[in-house]
Amino acid sequence: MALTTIQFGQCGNQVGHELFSTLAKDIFNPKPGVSSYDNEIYVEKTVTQWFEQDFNMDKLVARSVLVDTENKVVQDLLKKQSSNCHWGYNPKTCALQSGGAGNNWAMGYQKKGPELLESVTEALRIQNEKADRLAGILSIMSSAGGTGSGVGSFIMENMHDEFSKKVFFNALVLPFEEGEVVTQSYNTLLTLAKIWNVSDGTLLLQNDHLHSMLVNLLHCKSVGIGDLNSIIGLKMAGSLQPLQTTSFSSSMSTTDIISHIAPHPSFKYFSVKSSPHTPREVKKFEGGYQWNILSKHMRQMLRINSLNPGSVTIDWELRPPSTAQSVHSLHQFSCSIANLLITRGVGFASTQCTPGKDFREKPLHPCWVPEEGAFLHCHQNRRFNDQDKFAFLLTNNSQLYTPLNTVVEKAWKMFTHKAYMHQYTRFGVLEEEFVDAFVKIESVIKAYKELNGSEVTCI
Amino acid sequence: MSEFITVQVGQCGNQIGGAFWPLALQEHGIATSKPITQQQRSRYNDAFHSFFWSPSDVTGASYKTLHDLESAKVKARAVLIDMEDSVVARFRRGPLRKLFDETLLLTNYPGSGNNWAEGHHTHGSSYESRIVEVIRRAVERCDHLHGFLLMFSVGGGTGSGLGTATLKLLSDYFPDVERFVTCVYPSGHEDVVTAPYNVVLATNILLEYATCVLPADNKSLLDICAYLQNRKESNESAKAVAASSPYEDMNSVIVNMLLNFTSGSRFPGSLNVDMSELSTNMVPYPKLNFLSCGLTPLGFSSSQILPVPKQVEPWARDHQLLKIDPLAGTLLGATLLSRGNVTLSDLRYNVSRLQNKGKFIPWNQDAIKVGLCSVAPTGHPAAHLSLLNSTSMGGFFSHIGGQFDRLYRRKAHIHHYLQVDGFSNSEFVLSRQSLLDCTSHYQHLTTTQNAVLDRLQVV
Ligand SMILES: Nc1nc2c(ncn2[C@@H]2O[C@H](COP(=O)(O)OP(=O)(O)OP(=O)(O)O)[C@@H](O)[C@H]2O)c(=O)[nH]1
Ligand SMILES: Nc1nc2c(ncn2[C@@H]2O[C@H](COP(=O)(O)OP(=O)(O)OP(=O)(O)O)[C@@H](O)[C@H]2O)c(=O)[nH]1
Ligand SMILES: [Mg+2]
Ligand SMILES: [Mg+2]
Repeated sequence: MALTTIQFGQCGNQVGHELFSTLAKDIFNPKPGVSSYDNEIYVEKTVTQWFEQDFNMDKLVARSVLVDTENKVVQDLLKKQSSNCHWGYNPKTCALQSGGAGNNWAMGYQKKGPELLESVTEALRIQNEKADRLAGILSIMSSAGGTGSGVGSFIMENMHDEFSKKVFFNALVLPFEEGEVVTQSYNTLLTLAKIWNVSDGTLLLQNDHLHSMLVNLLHCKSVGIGDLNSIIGLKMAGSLQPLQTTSFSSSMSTTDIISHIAPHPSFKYFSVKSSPHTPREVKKFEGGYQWNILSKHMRQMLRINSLNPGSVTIDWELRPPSTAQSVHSLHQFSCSIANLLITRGVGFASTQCTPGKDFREKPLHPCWVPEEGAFLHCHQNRRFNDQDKFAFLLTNNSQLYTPLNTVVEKAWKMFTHKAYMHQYTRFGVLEEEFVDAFVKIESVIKAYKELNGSEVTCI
Repeated sequence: MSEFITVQVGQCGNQIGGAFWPLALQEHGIATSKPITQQQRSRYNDAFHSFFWSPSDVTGASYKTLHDLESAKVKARAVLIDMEDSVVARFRRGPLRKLFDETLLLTNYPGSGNNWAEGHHTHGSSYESRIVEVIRRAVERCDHLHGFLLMFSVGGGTGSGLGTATLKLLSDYFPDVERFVTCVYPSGHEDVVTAPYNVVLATNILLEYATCVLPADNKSLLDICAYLQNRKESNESAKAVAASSPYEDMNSVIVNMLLNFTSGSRFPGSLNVDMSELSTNMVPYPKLNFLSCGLTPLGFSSSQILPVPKQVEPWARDHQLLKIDPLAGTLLGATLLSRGNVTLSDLRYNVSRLQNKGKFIPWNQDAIKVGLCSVAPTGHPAAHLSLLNSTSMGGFFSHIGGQFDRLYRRKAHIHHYLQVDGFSNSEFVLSRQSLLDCTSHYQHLTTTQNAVLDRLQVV
């Protein structure tokens, strides 16, 4: 089934480009580690989902719509693709302007969005016409600027009805907490609030966290934006690439994945944890980790500090998997609505690894979530990212409220001083709209926060 | 690519323009005096349109010399206005004479006699329709016009008076195009006795009508030049052109700032900053639109490429174009624009240093906007520009207000103003009051406490 991607703004376009590059690299993986028959099925499924074949050019064309209010980024991407022999974008499916949306959600939502609607609709029509069976729409954007946030919200709202029967989800990049765009909290708040109503599931990506992964795990001395994107590319491709039906796991489509991970209208956020990420030099020497160690490590990533659930504890995603497991009495797990473990790589069937048991051994989920719905494990034998083993944990759990809480906290401070409000009212976004957004996101935060309480009652 | 039109008014404005154009050409690898060694710049020929226009649609790549420009009839996107034609006449004879379009020049003989009222009212009304016509002609040659860059001094009569009248016209006729003003404040040692009046009358208009103001004062510029002289980082490139002006070095510091300021709009970068983003990030309340600009490195050097250290301090007091210490006040917002060979890690490192050094407004502790542009300035591997919205600006306003009061208390020279048609004494009073209001707004913000209002409670 096909998926159409819409890339909004600088971030959306740069991340989208990295995602398609990762997918193309995966397709042309020279060492898939599976039979050529299995490989063919995998490749065919991937191509159908993300690309269309351009037989004239012998190239894959990304099933994507590129939207930006400033054409520099997309122009740069289109330029790059002439040197790329495997895949490219169709220049007809770009909707571009110039000048940008001024890091202002209101400008994006009220002015640039309506201006771009027609050309985006047209580009989307071209793209969807080519797909035999459309599964859904994936939007990619940052929340901090004006285009991804404002134009993205506007277009998603306008497209929602048209695609209400399809899966309609998005990947949202949250800004570095320490200063990047001065109005980022306002823009993020307004985006979260608008998208909440129309998206079936939102993958939250935090730039701070990605940056830490690069520094701690990959020992990057100097991090570029491209490095952040390569991790995002891996996480997204790792979650959405084809899965297998085996004796211990079932195959899931993208639609299945989103409905599993965001099963309830009050809990639509999820994040993707992944491991192992190792520096290139190390990869060569280390034989890789055992599956059961990897699986336990993924579970560790759900740990929280039981004495103070809100406080920052060790982030297990920032550590390499290890055999030494400190299991002391104080450990507690974050309460999850749903978890989905995806393992990719060789030799899983022959191990004694039973992730289901690990993840279900202690109640990780509120009592109203059915046991079988709370956790699933899916597998694919094909090697991913040239690694023998790679694991991804899609998780919708109580900890997701923390980045949102930071955003609301900061936005509220500015709002009570009416700072920057004239920039928004100028485009017709008034105080009431902010208040509505605060109410909505405060209630989402509350729901997530209260999950932890509900877990305790279950034990 | 975004386009800009410079509007140069009066002697000072046009002399800044005189330093601007050769350096702008140099960024595109076009030598105005001696041959340029680094020809790689022509890679970025898309950006050529930002400042230049040509009737035939050739890209910048084909231009190497002034002669090439002449044969392709390339013109600067520049409007030159002076009520005294000595400076403009010098351009008409100079090496760049073909670069300026005759139909975009507007001159007259008598000047404005260092009288704001004469520039603003007398010339402002008699030249209104011609100014609008000339600007419209320049605008019609643009496809993606994003900003006017206005340049003038506020101490004299023409730049100060007619320059601000032009600013008002721009806001009436082209409300959607950003208006950035670089204005030069007198050092206090010049012989213009009425300068304090001109300064206050002009500042009042700038507060109301400019998107952002990037002020410089001659005292700071002199100090910076003395410092550069000591370091032997002389500004050779500018000298060649503006050789007859004593202000050449000072003006090239301003030009250096302007080229860095617009670099994000003109060239690509992994964290692109468009001009439209500036006011969203930097102006939290109307009229608080004066930004203190600081640069590292301060000078040009066309002969040798000096390394730029990783740890930079463009926000330091002696790097400011205005004699204020922005970090002594409370910061309402900060923008850090880096161009050239700078990684995300370097940038984040500098952000956290600024965060430690500066005292930010309690309701936005991370009010920092960052940008990365991939094209380095001429002669340096990298450059950093900081724009700070600091309450220290209030101190500057009371300083210029004080100088105004000293004259106005004695009613010195006011008859020169009162005899001008259209000017009335209330303009003195209102302008002075507007500065006082601004100062007290800044004052109020330095004592602002954090929000006492609790966040919304959801039931
Ligand atoms: N991970 C990642 N973050 C990015 C990238 N580009 C920008 N960002 C983040 O996105 C935010 C800025 O938003 P942009 O996407 O640049 O803005 P935009 O949507 O183009 O909107 P305007 O430029 O305001 O019109 C900041 O938080 C950046 O850190 C990228 O390639 N990868
Ligand atoms: N930095 C700098 N300052 C200048 C320059 N030319 C003049 N000034 C300053 O500008 C002020 C005088 O204003 P001018 O620009 O000469 O006056 P004008 O706008 O032409 O107006 P009138 O001469 O009154 O018609 C004084 O404070 C000078 O120090 C220059 O090229 N660079
Ligand atoms: Mg952008
Ligand atoms: Mg003059």
